[in-house]
Amino acid sequence: MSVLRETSNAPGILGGDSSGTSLVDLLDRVVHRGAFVSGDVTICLAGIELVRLDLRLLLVGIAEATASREGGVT
Amino acid sequence: MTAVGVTGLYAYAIARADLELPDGTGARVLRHGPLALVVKEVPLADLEVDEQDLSEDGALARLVREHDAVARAAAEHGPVLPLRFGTVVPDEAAARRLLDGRREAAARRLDAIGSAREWGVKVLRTDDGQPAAAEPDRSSGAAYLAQRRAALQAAEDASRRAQHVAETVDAAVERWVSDAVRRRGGGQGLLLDVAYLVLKDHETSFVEEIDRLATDLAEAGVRLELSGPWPPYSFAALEGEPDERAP
Repeated sequence: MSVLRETSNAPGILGGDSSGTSLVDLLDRVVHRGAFVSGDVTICLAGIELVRLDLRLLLVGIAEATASREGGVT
Repeated sequence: MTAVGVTGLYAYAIARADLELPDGTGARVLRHGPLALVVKEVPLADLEVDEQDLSEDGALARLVREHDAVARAAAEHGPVLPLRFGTVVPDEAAARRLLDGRREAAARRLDAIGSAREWGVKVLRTDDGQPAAAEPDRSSGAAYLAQRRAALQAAEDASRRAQHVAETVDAAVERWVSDAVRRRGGGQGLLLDVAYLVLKDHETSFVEEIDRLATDLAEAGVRLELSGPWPPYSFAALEGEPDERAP
């Protein structure tokens, strides 16, 4: 049996791109993790929110995609 | 509809002020005191993507890959705290306010991470050990209770097994990791989902240990998946930040 290794790059090389990584794994890291900062991170103009990513929808999508991938038996 | 021409600063990561970012990312380092914010000016209209489109070639995928690419490029040149996807500030003044409020917390986290990189370890079941969900046996009260007891026992066994796997992996790699964040189990097949912080000098030893573990665990009917290296997403959380993450 061998390791199923999903390295996004060869070990030792952090740069480059993430093309070897699935979108689900990427979303899991950049949406679920990373530092959350509160404050004026929502952009308003004249009191109207111009952009606000509704990450709750996104998080639900990730949870479903992840569950279907990992709940099954290989 | 966003007004044409309105831009914001997409923020990728917090870093130390001496971070040098290579060309080609499109982002720049906004320095302020001892800290810096890695940012890129973006038209806000570009961020209005369909968040339910999780296809590999959709606009959201492109933004997500870019986020990771910039975080990686920055992490290659110094300690960084990757920010959560979708962090956008209106302008440079807001960027500086963001840093002002977090000097100590960010400095502590950056020191703690140092040159270490994140590696993800998942352990999943490969055997069909999960009993199929059975119709409740209502032939008799005793039969029903026996079935319920068996189901509870199976759940306990699974929980114990997951805990055992977690302890086995932790014990094996403990020498090589400087920090670990374990997540609560997800689907039935996922026994362990942990992020490790590994100093570069220990990386070879860490990966060798993981290879050994993978072989051992395979004989027990589980599969180990290693991903990495990653920028330290799982170790970037700033203390003192109100937790507004969606569940």
